[in-house]
Amino acid sequence: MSSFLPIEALAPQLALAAGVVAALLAGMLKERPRGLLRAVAVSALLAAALLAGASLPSAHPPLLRLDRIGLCWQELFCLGALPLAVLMEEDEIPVALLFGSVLGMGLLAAAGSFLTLFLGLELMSLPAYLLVSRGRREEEAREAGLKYFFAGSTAGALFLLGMTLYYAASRSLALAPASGPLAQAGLALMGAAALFKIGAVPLHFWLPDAYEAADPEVAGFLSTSMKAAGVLLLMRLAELAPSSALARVLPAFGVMTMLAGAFLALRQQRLQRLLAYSSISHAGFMILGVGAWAAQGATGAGAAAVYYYLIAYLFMSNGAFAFLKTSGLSTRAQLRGYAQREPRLAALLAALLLSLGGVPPTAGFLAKLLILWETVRCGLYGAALAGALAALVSLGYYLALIRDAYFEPAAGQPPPAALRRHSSGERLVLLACAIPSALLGFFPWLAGGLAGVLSGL
Amino acid sequence: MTALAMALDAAFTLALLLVFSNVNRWLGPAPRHEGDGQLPYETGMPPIERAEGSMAVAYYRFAVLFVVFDVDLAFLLPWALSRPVFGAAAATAMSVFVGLLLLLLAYLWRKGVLECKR
Amino acid sequence: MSLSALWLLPAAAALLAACCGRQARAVALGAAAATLGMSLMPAWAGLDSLSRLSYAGPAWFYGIRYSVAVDGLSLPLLWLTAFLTLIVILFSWRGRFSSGYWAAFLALEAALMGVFLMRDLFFFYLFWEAALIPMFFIIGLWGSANRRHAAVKFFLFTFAGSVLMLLGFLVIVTQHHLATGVWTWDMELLKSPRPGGALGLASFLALVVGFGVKVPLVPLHTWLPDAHTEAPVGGSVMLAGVMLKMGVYGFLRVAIPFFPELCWRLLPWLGGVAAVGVIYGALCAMAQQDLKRLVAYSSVAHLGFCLLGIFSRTQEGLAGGSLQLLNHGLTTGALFLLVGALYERGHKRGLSDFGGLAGRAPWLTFFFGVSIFASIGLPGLNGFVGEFMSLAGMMVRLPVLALAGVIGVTLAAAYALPAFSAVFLAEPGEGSVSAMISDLSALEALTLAALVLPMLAIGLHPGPLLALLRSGVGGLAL
Repeated sequence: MSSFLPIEALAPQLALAAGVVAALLAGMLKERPRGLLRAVAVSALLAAALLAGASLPSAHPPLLRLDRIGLCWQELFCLGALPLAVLMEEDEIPVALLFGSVLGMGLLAAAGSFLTLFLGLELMSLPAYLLVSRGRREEEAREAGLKYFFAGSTAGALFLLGMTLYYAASRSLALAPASGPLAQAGLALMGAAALFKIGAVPLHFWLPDAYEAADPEVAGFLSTSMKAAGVLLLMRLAELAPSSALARVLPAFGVMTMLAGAFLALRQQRLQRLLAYSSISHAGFMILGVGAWAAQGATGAGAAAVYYYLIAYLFMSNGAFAFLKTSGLSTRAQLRGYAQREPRLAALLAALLLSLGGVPPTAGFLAKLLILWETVRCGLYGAALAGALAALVSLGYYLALIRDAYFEPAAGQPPPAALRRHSSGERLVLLACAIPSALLGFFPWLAGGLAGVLSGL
Repeated sequence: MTALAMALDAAFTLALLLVFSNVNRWLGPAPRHEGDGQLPYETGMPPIERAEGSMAVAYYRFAVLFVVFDVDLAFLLPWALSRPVFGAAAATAMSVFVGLLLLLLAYLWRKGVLECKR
Repeated sequence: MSLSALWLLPAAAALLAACCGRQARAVALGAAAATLGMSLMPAWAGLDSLSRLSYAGPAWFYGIRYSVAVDGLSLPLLWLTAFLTLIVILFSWRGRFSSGYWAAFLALEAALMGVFLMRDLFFFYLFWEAALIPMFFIIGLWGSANRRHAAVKFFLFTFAGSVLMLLGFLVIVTQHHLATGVWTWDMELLKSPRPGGALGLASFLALVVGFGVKVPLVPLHTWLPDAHTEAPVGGSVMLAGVMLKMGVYGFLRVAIPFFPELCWRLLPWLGGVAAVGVIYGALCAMAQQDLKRLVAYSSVAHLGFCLLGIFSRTQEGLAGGSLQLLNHGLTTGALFLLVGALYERGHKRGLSDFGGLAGRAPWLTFFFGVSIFASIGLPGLNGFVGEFMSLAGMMVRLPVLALAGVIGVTLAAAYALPAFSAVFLAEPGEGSVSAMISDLSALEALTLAALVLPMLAIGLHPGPLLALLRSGVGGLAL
């Protein structure tokens, strides 16, 4: 069986596929016990994460290749989807869509050939379009889903075109280096598709609408797992040719993205849209990290900075969106005086915002530090300065949100969505995201451990 | 050399595109708007309603489901032809695949997607 | 005893205080007293045993390791931090504050103790920045009218400088690794080899800006007046008393030891900036009508003195500059407490809002007078020793800067004495609130006495303290 279909290499994906089956079966039940679908979702994701963690690197030509980076990223995808699994509505279709998306991401991580890469890319994107269009505000959600679909399909088409050019240069679909102008052009197009997926400036126009119109927990999933998948795609491409034009232009894209995201977020009044632009800014740091990694030869251990950033961002972003869902707030005006109404939730929000801003001793600070460190190691001092500027500007709006919540007097009636009771799942997710965000900066040995894991020790 | 070829290819495609989009406007006669001259010709009678109209979404659903099961068939055909070569492994794999699609069919049946309601 | 307890205890107490509602005040008092007691313990054992207290953990990641140590420079600063925190808690005892207030001050103390304890640049930076968070909340939640703007401005300004400082650290660490192949963030090991050429200059300037925002060096000082005036009493005391010292400590601990030649070559510039700060701060203070803002600008001037002494790199200058750090903490702390007492009673801070308080509130007048004279530098009080030694040190290097310092001393008298006389000695004018000003309560008088007695003690017998400081900073002299 192994020669025909390497089952053990795809064990996490099989767990997720089993989850899809279980979800559909659960959906067919006439009287479904409450929480069944949630349990199915969480257990399938945890099983996939555990299986990914237990897998060993192996190669299964021509389609699959499991390496340390791929396996670590698979864990990241599953864990990034957990908050969504806990918070999402109890309907079998969104759960199955979530599984499908994470399955696609896993395929992308395990890809040894461009075909599998493309398959994973499309498989992870299509359910995401649908998840976005299922938002609460139907008209907006459908429009945003359509925009996301068009942007993502364009990205897929670009990727295919780049793939064919690369094939023309390398004569094989395997993920192997190739040289020549055709290969460079192919890599550039595929890199553009990856940047599209991450939401890099100037290919970011779909992102604020998609994040704002989707349900907050879905937006959290998009901002963490989907971005991680895009970053992995970019890393795979940069790995093929670390000295290519694509790899060399990445720091510039990173700087553009982080600065544009930070400045654009300053004017936002709607919280979910503000978080979307802040997500763009963080993506800029990730792209800069990938560029610095490629400039240093694209080794395994060097990816620790980007990996840590994605882990920290997983906690911060999921926490922030979970807060939006729990609190029911949608605009900055509604945030005024929040700390007097709900002191505990406001404290968690403050922890998450400080982490997003990169203030010590939070996890976000250590993440930014690692990326800036890699940048300085490469000699990209201008990019490091730009990173510092972006961190400062983004702190401007995070502090403004904390100021609104804490220092302003409570104004008027809270919005109706804010008055419902918070479920234990919501509180659990918020705590589980906010506390690591606030404190992980004290423990740089975690980053060291990750570097070790990534280099195979 | 290859770069030049690619550039020429792109330029030619673009040129062709532009020509095809606009040749009607350039070479055709000047449009004359005389009363109902723009309306589609229906034996001289004024049209009762727009030609496009909208169809029930159920038709679209059936069309999509047809495509899904048609692709299922597209996978089954090469499998059937190559099964003697691969043996038990291939049989298991295809059984799983068809089983999943049957599950999907059961799910759709259960949810009432396959019914025609007026 | 473990040095880490000096910051762990306040941090744990902060968490505890945040959780308990009504007992938070007592928790805070107990923790602050305990921390002060613990910080005084190394003094009994003597100077030589200080090095035995240091602790270095295992290397965690690319040379980052948790290491703490204490020496002649940081020990008095630790005392100052613990002492001022206790004073602030005592002074605020009667005010009805929520548990968050006490927790914030304890967290601030933990972060500040950490800054003075850490010997690893990563953790130094971590605690440096972590101190901003409690201060931000203190200004924003319990400050006066313009507090929201002041809190955000304070945070962003200092954060900007600190991020540049972080980039400087990263360059130093990376260049060290390139030169030696060893990853380390330890302050001792990074001193050599240091980055040279343009990169060295750039990282040194980054450090200067980062520390300079905190000191503050003119023109990076614009956050200070707003932050000090809008903060509540306790916040101003901690801000002026301790947080400004972080900047000078950074110069003494990092910038000068890491780049001695650059400091020497840039002495005219650095000393010039300090001298400008002295005169500019004094001139701005003279123009103020708000008492609190006046004291805030005077801080700019006083820390200019510290830097003049320190940049001169002579034994007297270094010792005097470091002593002036402690002096300033005491005098400015007392002044802010007194202005806070006035505001609490009269709800006004203007110079013309008072008058003739000498008759109504003798104890207030007495403490205010002593503090003002100490800050001017009257012989017999602590300010004189520090200022004199700093200027003596700078006189050897660049007399013109010492002259500027002397002009600054005169200007200090020029803004301080008219202010004192307007508030306490002159006749009450129109709209004066002097009738509402009662004298200090016993608790307030006690805390102020605790601040004023050291002023006298240091002024009359500075020897032991100077010896302690010299053991810490003497190595930097040329």
